[in-house]
Amino acid sequence: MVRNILSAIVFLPLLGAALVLLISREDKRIHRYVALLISLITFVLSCLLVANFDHTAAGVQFAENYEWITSLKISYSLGVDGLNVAFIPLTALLFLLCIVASWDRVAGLKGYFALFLILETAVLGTFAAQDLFLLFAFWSAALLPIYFMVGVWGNKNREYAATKFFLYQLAGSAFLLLGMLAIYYIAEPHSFSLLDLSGGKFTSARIDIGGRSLGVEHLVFILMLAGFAVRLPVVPLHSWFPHLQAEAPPVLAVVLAAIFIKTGAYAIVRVNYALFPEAANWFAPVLAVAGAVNIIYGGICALGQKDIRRLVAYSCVSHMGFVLLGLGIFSSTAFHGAFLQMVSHGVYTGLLFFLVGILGARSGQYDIMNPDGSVGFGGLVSKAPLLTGFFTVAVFSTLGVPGLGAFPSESLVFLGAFPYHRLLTVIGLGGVFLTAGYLLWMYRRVFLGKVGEGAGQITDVTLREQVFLVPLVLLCVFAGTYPTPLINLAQPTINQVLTSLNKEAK
Amino acid sequence: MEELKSLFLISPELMLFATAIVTLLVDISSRRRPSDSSPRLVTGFALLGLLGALALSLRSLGFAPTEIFSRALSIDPVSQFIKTLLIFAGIITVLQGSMSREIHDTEKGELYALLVLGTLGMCVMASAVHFLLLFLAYEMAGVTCYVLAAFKRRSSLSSEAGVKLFIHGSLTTILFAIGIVMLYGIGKSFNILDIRTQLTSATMPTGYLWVAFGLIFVALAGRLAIFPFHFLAPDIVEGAPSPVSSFFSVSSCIAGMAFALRLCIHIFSAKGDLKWVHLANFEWPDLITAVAAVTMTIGNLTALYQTNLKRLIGYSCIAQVGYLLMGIPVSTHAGIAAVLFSLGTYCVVTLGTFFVIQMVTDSAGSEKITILRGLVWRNPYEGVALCVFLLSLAGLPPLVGFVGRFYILGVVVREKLYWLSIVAAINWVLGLTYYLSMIKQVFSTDAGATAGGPLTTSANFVAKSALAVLLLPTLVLGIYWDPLMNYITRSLGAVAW
Repeated sequence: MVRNILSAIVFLPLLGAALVLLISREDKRIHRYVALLISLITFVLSCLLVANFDHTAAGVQFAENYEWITSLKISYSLGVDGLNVAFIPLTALLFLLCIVASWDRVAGLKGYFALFLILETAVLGTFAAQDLFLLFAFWSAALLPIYFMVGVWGNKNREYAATKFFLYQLAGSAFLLLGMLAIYYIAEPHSFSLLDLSGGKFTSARIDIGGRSLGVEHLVFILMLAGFAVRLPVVPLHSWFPHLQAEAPPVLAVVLAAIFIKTGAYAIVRVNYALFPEAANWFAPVLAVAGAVNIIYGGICALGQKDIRRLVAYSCVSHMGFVLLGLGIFSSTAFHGAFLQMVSHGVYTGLLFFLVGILGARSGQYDIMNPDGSVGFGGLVSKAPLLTGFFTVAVFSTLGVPGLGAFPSESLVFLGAFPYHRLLTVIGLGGVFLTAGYLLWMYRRVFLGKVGEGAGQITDVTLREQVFLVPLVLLCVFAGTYPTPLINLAQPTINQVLTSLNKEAK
Repeated sequence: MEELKSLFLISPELMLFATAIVTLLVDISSRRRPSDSSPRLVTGFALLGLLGALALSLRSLGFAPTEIFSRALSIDPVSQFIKTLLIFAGIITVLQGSMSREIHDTEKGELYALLVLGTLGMCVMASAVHFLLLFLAYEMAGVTCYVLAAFKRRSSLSSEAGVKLFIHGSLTTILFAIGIVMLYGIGKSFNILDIRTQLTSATMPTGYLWVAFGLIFVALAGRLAIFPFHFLAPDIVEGAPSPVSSFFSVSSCIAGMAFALRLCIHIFSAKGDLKWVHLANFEWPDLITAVAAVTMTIGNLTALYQTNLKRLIGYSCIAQVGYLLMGIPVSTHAGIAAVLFSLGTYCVVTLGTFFVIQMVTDSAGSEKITILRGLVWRNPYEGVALCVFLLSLAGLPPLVGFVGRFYILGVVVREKLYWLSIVAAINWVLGLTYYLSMIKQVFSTDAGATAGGPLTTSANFVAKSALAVLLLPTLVLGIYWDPLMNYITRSLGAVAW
């Protein structure tokens, strides 16, 4: 196997971005071909990575370790294990499909594709990094392309949404940076390597603040968690997300909901759980409660939305709550459920946002209900049966209908959570009913009933659109019926993480 | 023979002096027979001289630390590093001057000569370890700044800036002089090394030290534009012609920071292993940390409400200096290395910002923040460059501004100044708010955003390459900065102070 396949996967998109920028302005179409080709190669490589991944081993594979900044012992170190191996091909696939989806763009092709590919590198890097500094660099670098894409090609309120997003995320990064520096200087020898830092090295370390001695582990756990929670997004740090989703260009919204926010949940396990097992045990109940709050709060907010993008965005907030609930309970079942949920949520939310984008592009509006009480779309099932079909799959995947999308993952979370937190599990189950409530409410008004005003221009799905929708539909079915391969990929590493976490349990 | 060797060691300064004289002479002689090429000739001589000085100072980076001219000047890697930055800043500001539309072609020779002389004064400031020489250099830099601030004679804002700076400068000079005399009372010498020996060997009354330190600190605060004398800087940055704004915000701050190191580290701390030890009965770090925290917070908060582009950058520079200042009270090698590194990045990035801002303001004939509207669609290169500089000032990875910020925050956390690190983190987010407000304009796609057409001061080849020279370190050092940091750390290990 190629030695630096992971670096190739992470940096190919960046190379593509450079190529797109270097190609002269004259021939506009060539930019998308370059972007498509590069993202396709990236995806193929990432499939090769998974194919060669040894899913019986728990440790880091395909590891790359190079000295980068010797004076600070920062290393360029990448690697995959069960926690992140599934996200690499998922990211690559979604970016590939998004590039197909932006095929008929006319304006600003060059900058658009370049920024999009830069974002791909940043997200892939965040998943693959095994060095805290490197992770932070990718983590923060992802903000720039999103800011510019939303700020330039977004909808009416784009500047407000982009700025809000950036400030929220940077505040999170500031917490993260402080926590990172604190543990760097406490650890002996100083290191940013996640492997060197992990395993409860900070359990006994204490610092004095204002004359009071505080445990480093708990303090830094909360600092870093705050940084990651902003991205997850955990209520009450979520309000940037619906705004951003409503203003982002449709294709970017897919990436944001399906993969970008997953980096937050992933990083909690990769960094917080690995580095601070004792504090993780101490704080896990709060995480589980926060998960339940997310489920219910996001669901209730989604019920009140008139704008279909905001509705789906709040549904994401709610469904990330299942992930958080699963991560807050250190049982193998719940943990696996949380991981499966992260992957399958990426698939069905991606599909949902693609479809929302198609609706918006056709009709130029996103309102389910007009201010005067009439429906914005209505009766699409007769005008666009294929579109309705795709939408049905997406909606039922989100609902967690058996055999589709969210069903196995949510079931696992509930099964795992029930013995530990009965009340939270019941509350979480309430979230499923809320999901059914807002999604079916939306579905009825958009697709059933009389043909409304906004439905006039809506034509059915084209062949090119089917090209990027069908893979996601297949994946929804796959994740809903036969998630075993996905679980197998993650199992050894998750068990290892759980063992080290439960060792610290009192 | 010894003197000849000393002259060799100060060759960058000699080169600067020669450049100033030659520029003036060429300017005068070309005035007798004015021709179309004469402004270019003057610019050429000034730039050539400065480039020569830069080459000489780059060469002097490796010199072993010595004290020359009866221990009046210290030539060490740190002082030479600061001189290199100063001369680099001089080159960019002269280039800015040559492009400026605010300054008439016939006045440019004088502008260059003053900029070069100011740079010379600041270079001496960076090296001086004798208070008389330090005072003279301080004054030389100060006087050129007064004249430069008022250079746009027809503008009342510019004259106001000059007068303000002059009045404030005269006051602080007097206080500075009193401070020097008080220190003379301790060391019975004007030599900084003697004063330090005396300070570290015998215990002095704390009150006396506070007064002496405070008086000199006031002189420093005026030059660095830090609290409580920050309010002057935005007036000058706004009123003065753009090349001078950039000279004032960059060169003056670099020299001020060199002065701050001299005062805090070289006089009021004793040498230790990998760190400098504070005097037992005199805790100046408390003052500096407080000033740093207040300075950056005030700079950032006030910048939020600015609508004038240059003034906004002026306030942002105050905040930047506040960040830099955090590294001094730490007074470990790592802390000072972080300060020097950030000083270098501050120099490059701020110069870049002013470089583009000048093009835009000159072209639009206005200084409102809205003139940036849609810049990137009209002039992609300049627009993207400005965004890179602003994001670097905001301290975002993977740009060089982040690296400096990271090091400084690192030493602050390491020294357990947790409250300061939280203040700095909050300011990080605050700062981003107004940098984004500028970037938002640059990328604006509103109707009419592209109506202005390309910049009329559209950059020629020289300007484009100067911009590239400024962009390159901003991008490259953000990803791989090890060599520079290693150089700085090694220099600190080598310095005698």
